[in-house]
Amino acid sequence: MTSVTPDHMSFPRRLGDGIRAIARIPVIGPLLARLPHLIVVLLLVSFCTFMLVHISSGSPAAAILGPSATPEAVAQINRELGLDRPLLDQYLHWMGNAVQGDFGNALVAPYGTVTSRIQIALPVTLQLAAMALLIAFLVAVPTAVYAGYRPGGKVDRILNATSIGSLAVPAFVLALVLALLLTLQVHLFPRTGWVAFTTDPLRSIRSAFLPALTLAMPMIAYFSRVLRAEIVQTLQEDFVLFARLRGLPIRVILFRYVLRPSCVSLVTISGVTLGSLLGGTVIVESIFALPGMGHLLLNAVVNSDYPLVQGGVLLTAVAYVVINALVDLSYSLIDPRMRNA
Amino acid sequence: MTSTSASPSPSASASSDVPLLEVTDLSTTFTTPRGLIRANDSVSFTLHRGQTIGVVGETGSGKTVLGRSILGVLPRRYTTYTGSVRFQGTELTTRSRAELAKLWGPELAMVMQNPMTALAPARRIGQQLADGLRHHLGMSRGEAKAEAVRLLHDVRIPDPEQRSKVFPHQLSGGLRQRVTIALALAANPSLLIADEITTALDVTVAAQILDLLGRIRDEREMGLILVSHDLGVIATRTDAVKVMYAGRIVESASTRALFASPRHPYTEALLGSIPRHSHTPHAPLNAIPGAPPNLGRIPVGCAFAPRCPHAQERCRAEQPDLADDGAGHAVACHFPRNVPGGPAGAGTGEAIRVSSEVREGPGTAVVSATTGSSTATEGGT
Repeated sequence: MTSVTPDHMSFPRRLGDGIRAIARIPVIGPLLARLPHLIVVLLLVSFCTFMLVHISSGSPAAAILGPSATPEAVAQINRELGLDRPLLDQYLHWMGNAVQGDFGNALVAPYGTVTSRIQIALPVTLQLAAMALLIAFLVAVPTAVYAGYRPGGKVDRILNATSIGSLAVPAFVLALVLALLLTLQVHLFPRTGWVAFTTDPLRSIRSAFLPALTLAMPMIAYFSRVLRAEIVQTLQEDFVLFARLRGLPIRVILFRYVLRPSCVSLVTISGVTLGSLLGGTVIVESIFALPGMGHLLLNAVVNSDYPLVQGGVLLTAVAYVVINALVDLSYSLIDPRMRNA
Repeated sequence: MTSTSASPSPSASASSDVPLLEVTDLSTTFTTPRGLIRANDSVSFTLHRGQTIGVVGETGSGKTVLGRSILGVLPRRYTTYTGSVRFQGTELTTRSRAELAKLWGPELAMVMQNPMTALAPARRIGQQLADGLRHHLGMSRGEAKAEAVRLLHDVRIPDPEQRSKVFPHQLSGGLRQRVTIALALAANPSLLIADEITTALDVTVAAQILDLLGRIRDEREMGLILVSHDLGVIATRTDAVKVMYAGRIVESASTRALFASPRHPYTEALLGSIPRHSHTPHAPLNAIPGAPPNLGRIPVGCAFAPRCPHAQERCRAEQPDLADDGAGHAVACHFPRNVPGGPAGAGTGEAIRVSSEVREGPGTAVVSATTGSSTATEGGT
């Protein structure tokens, strides 16, 4: 039988085997499996934003030229930008460049390529998001563990009261209160402004602390409530009783036995939260005058700077998809039982 | 030695005068929204080092609560203990939770029913063992790691070095139960409560686990309380048996005496309900009619009276006390069965046949139907 099979028939099978072999490598395999999903999502997102931006925003030409522009000048600009061509044509042209890493040029001052503008804004947002997430974990995890260990106890009641409070207060109010308390009164942190991490790490962290704390406050409340609920459940498990009967100290049981299997919801929601943070946090960036993604995209929308909007939205979409893929992968780290599934 | 006249365990004679565990009139009451529930009522028994006591009864008879009451691990807010639990001469019921917790591990230990849920899912087996070793024995990380492998070897886990690095879900049920035994014994406890440890295992694995436990008990001169509803396990692996019904001990005797002449109608019925090889296929089993009483509403008189084929007026009016016959065989029944000179045990052919088999020696073919492996290879627990 096999000798009859022509060579070109067996070739794709071998290729398939090769792909399957690669797919078996941990982390890479699952990511590879999500690649088609990623591509579909990105195509959809880019197409939708492209259409939305072109339909909703005012004329880019008007934005560039100002209100006193003549119709001839507008037509001229439109021709230069390719805006007079059919939308689908424009989209394909843009996509063609985008896959080569060229997202075009910003239309409004300070100009520059979209890539270079994002390269400046993204590190600010990344650092802000990382610090906010870190603060949230540092506060929420121990609080939730102890609140879950003693439901109805002091820590639990304090958590309950404050978390409802801090979820209810809007971010800008919180930001202003924090700014008032910690900058104007104590001068511990700069009121506004940004120092790049590469310039001076310490001052950079100080300059990012207040906005990160503002972002972290609702996250703390949310995270700790979710984690607390799961801790309470895990504590009912047989293995907790068994660990106690082996005389292990409660600290060891909580942090080494109970915390990890209780983290599934926490990881899920922190993935979603991180994704939304990377899209920029307009209000907080405005209040603290930070040159992050939120600031960049807000201005781009206001100025009808459509290449910038498209680039930014696409980046945010990629971040969401990648983060979600990583979250899915992390489940098997949290619960080893999922590894062989 | 106490009531166990012919203990098959060689080390039993080595026990000192102070019993390892002395439970006197222990009652455990839960406060629930629907009223008080007395899960254990006036339970008394004594356990010596190297001895195994079997606790047997249906689901809901208070076996598990008894084990947990001794350890003091029931939720304090809803639980009231009366009576006394003396461990090596010191009273446990009056101790605080924190004081008790110091005994858990190095003195008192427990192996639980389901090895699938007793191990932390996200921690490697070696680490779980090392956690206890480092806490109780003050070992360094490296020492604990090596000792963990040695403990796994002790419970006959093949390739312990490799196995110490796996997660619980990567092991079979039998291996997992070996791991829980290793965990429970890591800090050298003197008392081990084994709560239905073979229920979740298949019969051949169960026999191996019980052999292992018997060997370790002898090696370490541990006291062992074997809680089970499996009469096969009880018959072959224990020195003395406490039969529980509705939270009370209704019969207490040496294993041999109990299986030779069960005096409580409940014990008799339990023995009669064991399916045997000789049983006609597809014929109904000799189940005990009815169900154990709700512990919140135990009937006046003898709790077993509603299900007892021999119950009389007195049984429904007056609760019988656990009365010893002077030879260590105690029964809580107004009209005990199989008492020499008393009324003959009608319809106890099964039980009598069992008794004749028991006399052939410890751990013979009595219960082959339930354990699958009838030979007590390690000298009979």
